[in-house]
Amino acid sequence: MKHLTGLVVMSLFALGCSSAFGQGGIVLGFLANDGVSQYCDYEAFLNSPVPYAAGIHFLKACDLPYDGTLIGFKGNIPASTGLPVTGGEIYLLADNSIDADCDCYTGDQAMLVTRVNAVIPRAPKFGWEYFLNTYDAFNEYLGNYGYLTNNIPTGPVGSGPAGRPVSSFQGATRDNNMMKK
Amino acid sequence: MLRDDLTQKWSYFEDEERWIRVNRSSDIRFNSQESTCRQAPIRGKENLAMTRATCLVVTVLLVLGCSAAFAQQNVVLGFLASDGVSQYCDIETLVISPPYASGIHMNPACGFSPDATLVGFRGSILPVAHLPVTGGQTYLLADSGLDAICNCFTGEQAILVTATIPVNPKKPKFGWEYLYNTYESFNSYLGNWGYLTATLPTGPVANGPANRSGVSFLQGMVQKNDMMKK
Repeated sequence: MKHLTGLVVMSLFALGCSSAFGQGGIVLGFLANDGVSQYCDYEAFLNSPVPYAAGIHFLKACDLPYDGTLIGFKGNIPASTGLPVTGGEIYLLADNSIDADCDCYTGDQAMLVTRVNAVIPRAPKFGWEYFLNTYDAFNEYLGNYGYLTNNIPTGPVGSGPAGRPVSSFQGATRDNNMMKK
Repeated sequence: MLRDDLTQKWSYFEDEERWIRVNRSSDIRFNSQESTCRQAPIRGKENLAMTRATCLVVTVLLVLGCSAAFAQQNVVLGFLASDGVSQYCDIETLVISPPYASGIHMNPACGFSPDATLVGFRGSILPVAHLPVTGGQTYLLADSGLDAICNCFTGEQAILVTATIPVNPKKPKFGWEYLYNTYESFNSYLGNWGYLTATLPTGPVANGPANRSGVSFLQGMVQKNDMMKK
């Protein structure tokens, strides 16, 4: 209940903050790539003035002690990459959620790529993906991806896909190293 | 295979550093948490710097070999301050396979361990952003440097924007900048910026600008230029 209250307060704060500066406020949840299951974390960021973006990767809903921090720019990933999320209306956000998860320096670094709108059920497009590199390495793993939703998780544990961790980045795989494609 | 070699080399380096730290007769402390209590002798620092410089060269060569094996572009560059003269002690080592880029923000010459991790994409920042570095031939890299320096979770996150070639003295342009956000915030502070150089630092402390730290991304801790409020 405390978590839930805290989340609501933080979300309202984020929205209030953005309106105070006349900035666009984005608050979106993460659906898995099955389009149904929802992860327990969500993103809240400001994307104005263009091309800047900064915000919070809320993890406390997952019963984690700290949230992640987001910062980045509006970007453009060519469709030729074959990635789940491409195009020009996306944001490239450095994300320290992996360190936040363990409350330590892991040596891993993630970059979250996200759209700013929730999925349209009639024309579904993937809305988020994230990449990571490991310590003293030269990899760019496509860790996970899925859809965005306006439904913000309210419980301490989201309805994550069966057999998978419940936060979006905990489902990371290291199968797809884009540096070796 | 080459990447495994690279990891192994760094492992040797870390083992050596760990041995020196454990062997107290050498009277050398390198860990930042310990260094506040005791000062390392100059000779020890020189030895460590030499070890790290050697390791740096080996690493760079391995990176070059690795990237060549995969037909990728490699980038190894140092950071000059915005005065165009002073050099910071850290370097960036990237492997680029457009639009992807990943690598290491290396701190060995700074006397820090561990290194930071970089991952990102080619980006294009429009001139209207009024940043020192704009244009299409840049890479936007998530950078774990702030957590690496304290070897902890700081709550802060940096993004490094970098070109891929050193400054042309005849036509100087800024080549790197970094921005960061703080915990539970919606800020985009322009932390620091400068030029890129092919000259790599070799000493334990580079000739950073007067009264400043020798590390490029520690310069921005003054939270003045919040680009979200311009």
